[in-house]
Amino acid sequence: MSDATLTGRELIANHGRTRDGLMPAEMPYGTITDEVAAAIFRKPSRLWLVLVGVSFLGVILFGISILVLLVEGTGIWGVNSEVVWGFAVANYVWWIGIGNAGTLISCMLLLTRQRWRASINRYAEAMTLFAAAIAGIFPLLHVGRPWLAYWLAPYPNTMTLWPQWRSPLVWDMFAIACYILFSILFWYTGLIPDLATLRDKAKHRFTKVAYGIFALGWNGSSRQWKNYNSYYYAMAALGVPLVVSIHSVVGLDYAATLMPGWQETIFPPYFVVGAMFSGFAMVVTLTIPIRWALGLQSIITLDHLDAMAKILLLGGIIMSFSYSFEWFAGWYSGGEAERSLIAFQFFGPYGWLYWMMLACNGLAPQLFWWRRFRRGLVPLFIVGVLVNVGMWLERILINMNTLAHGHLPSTFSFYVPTIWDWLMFLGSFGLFCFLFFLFAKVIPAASIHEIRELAHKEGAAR
Amino acid sequence: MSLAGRFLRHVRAQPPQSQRLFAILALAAVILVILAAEAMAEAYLAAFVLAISAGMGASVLLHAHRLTGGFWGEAARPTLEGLAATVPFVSIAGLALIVLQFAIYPWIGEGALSERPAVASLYLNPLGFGIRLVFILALWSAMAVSAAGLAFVNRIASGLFLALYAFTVNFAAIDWIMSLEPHWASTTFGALFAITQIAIALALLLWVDAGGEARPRDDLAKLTLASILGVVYMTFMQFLVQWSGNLPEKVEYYLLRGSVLWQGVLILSLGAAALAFVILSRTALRQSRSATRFAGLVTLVAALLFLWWEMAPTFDNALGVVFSLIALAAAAMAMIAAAKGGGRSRSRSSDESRRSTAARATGGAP
Amino acid sequence: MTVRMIMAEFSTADALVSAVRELVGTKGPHRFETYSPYALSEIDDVLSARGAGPSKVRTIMVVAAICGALAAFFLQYWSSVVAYPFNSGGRPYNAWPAFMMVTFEITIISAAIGGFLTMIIGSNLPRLNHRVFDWEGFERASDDRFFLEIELRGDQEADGEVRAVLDRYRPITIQERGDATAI
Repeated sequence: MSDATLTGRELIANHGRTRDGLMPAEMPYGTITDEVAAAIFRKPSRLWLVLVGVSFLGVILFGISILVLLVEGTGIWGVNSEVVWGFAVANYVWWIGIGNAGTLISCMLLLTRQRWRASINRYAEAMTLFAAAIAGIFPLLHVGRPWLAYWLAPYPNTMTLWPQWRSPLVWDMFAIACYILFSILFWYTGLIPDLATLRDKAKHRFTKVAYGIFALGWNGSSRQWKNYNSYYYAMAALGVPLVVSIHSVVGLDYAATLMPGWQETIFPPYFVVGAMFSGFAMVVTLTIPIRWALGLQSIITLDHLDAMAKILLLGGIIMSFSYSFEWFAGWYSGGEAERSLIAFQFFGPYGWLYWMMLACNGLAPQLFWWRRFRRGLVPLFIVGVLVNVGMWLERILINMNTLAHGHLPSTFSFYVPTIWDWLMFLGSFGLFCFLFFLFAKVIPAASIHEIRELAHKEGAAR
Repeated sequence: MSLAGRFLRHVRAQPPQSQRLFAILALAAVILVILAAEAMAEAYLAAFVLAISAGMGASVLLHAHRLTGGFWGEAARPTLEGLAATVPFVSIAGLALIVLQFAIYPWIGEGALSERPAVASLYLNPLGFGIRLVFILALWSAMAVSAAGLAFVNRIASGLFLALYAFTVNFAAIDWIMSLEPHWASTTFGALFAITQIAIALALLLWVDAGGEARPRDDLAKLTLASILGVVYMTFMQFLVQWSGNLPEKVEYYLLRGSVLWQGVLILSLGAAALAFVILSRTALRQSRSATRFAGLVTLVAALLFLWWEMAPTFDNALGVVFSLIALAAAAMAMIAAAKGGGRSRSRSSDESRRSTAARATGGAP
Repeated sequence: MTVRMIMAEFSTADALVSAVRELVGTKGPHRFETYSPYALSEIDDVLSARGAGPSKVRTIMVVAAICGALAAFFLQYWSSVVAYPFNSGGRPYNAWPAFMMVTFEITIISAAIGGFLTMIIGSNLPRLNHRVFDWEGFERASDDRFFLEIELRGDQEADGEVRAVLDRYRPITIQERGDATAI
């Protein structure tokens, strides 16, 4: 019987795995295409429909909270005259962090020739795209009158005004806009050859035409591949500095102020590391359900998860050191406001959240010193979620602690989020999941042509 | 092979004229110490910082390679090990700072840190400086010995060493360099020091052509490119944040370096870095031995000038400024010699390593 | 004028690459194009050995990046020094450190857009149809088959050699037809 009719799991049973455990030892190109494309052409399962339905409820929630915000104004939030940055800014930083990580992961793995990249880069990039788009919504809402947001852009106008180029908030506008555009280009370029595969595999006229239009007429000629590779690798090389600069700008939103605990030169690189950490945690959190729901166990293997767990461990160690160094630096540089803020972080009203954050970001990943936990789906999923929670806490605590405990004791205040803060945050989750589920059904979740190339190099296909 | 044997081999590997030069320099140094003690102490600090940076940069690369693998590390290993093996010796030399600190650092003495009495009594004092120096150098020596493959060779140790390095490098940077200006602070300074160390080691690898063949050379060139970007990025971010903040005690750092001389030095350093960047970002040039060697040299010059720019403006005697530049250059040459010595031992052991690689390839599971 | 075209379908990349290598060595080099489900660096090597230049994508990206950087910096400089100068915390009008971030982002995105357009146009895309899709079974070029399309020259001897080379690598199918346009 020919191997072409077997599934990836049966091939592993028959032939075992390649030496580095990334794929079955025998895996013809046709099987690779079928494995990844099958999830798209299969009839939607009931589970998928339920998930899309539930997440759509989140989208409705998001819509309602935006509507109420636009009608009532930012007064519905918990922000006050001192703590002017609340959930909206924290959510923005958290989402853009996740959004940055996908591109960073994809580019770094490509540039360092990590063989396990092909299986995870596609949905890591999709994660990037959706997270960045959602992140972009929050600053717009945060400004209170989103319909005037275009005032940030430089254009000749009757008021003869120009943007305040010395403000990091203007840098931020450019950074997000450029980043979303860049991620679309990077993601879409990698997708073109796979869209051509789907065009050629599609049975129905409508799907064929739809995929065909987006495939732009790709035929896989040597000339096209040459241009493609030249561009794709150049984009990966550009992606790393771009992502670093984008998240540095986010760090500068804080660091370019004069608030205690914010005016730190480490903030730009530190935000980049935090983004990488939370993004990897999100990739792990998404990978586990994806490989199960789409049946991609032969393409996303335990070795992939193991490698990601090690990176989470590294991130956890770096974050722990960063926190402790932050305390030392606050003490060393010696401003009264800085020292008082550090005490406030530990023992103030938000102290319990701070301890929780330390446990989530610093302690939880330490489990991955043990191989058993690195290869266990349940511990991986739990730690992934914990790190996401911890990183979100970090973002909100950076806002709340500093703003509630600034330079002037008479302005010390207290911030409590309202129900609308929470609903909007939940709603943004709904939107993210909704987009992600749609993506998983319409677009190959792994890069088919790169897996073919990998299979050729690994000797699984000839 | 024992550590001492390795060192002796490195010394013997040098040509006789450079050994003679070394002796003359040592004699001149003794005379100068008597005549200009403070300037010599400052020059000593500068040389120490550069020398330990090269060795520690190499150690970090070796440990990182042990964790992640890659062609570049296999090819460059002898050179990297040669550089890492210098760390214990440089560390022993560094212990002299316990005494020399009294001639160098402005925070020594009653009332020098009167606005931060707690920091003066608990951290920035001669005893604390000495204890931390000994601790950091001992740890770094152990890390380098492990990196050079002489002891504690396993992946867990590499992970732990890298983590401990990431922690201790902050304190090394504060103690040795940042505390030259005790009223100034920058939280990114430790990370900047770490990436500078890596850049110095990579520049040395390119200059002695440790890659040897096109593919590892390409990899090393790309790593150097990334490290140059890292140093420039961190330096710029530090500047941008403090420029935006415009607080007196922070911008003092840049005002001190605002003179024509120091602006010129920084521009020169950035120009060199930009030149190396342009060369290394061209795919065709990355393959060429002479182009990458030149880029390595230019990167090394950029790093050297950058370290000088960080330290020397705080030296209040002109002699110390001049001597520290000479000392940096001398230390850089010593490190080039160490890198070359490491590379030369490769040609001797290449048969052996080829055999072991072949054994690993056929041996099945790692 | 019509051109005779021959299309061979292989099941492995190695067969395609070997056939191309041998084809390049034949008398009177034929024009050909390969179609594969993933990038084959070996084909690029063969083509560049034959004198094909490198892709223009990166050159255009560098040019676009420089233009983008200059435009972004000029916009900031002009609007805050000439068009609308105002004092913010005593900082200079030409606050170049503050202009760097926007300049950098615009530089990168200019390179990305310039490169994308060059890649698409340089690959003769986008287009709704192409004569190569008319070959029988060509839809598997994006799945698991490797195709080699050769333009015949109408010279009996040279064309015979081409057919012999193809036969030696055991293609799954060989098709021949007349086409209105050349490769």
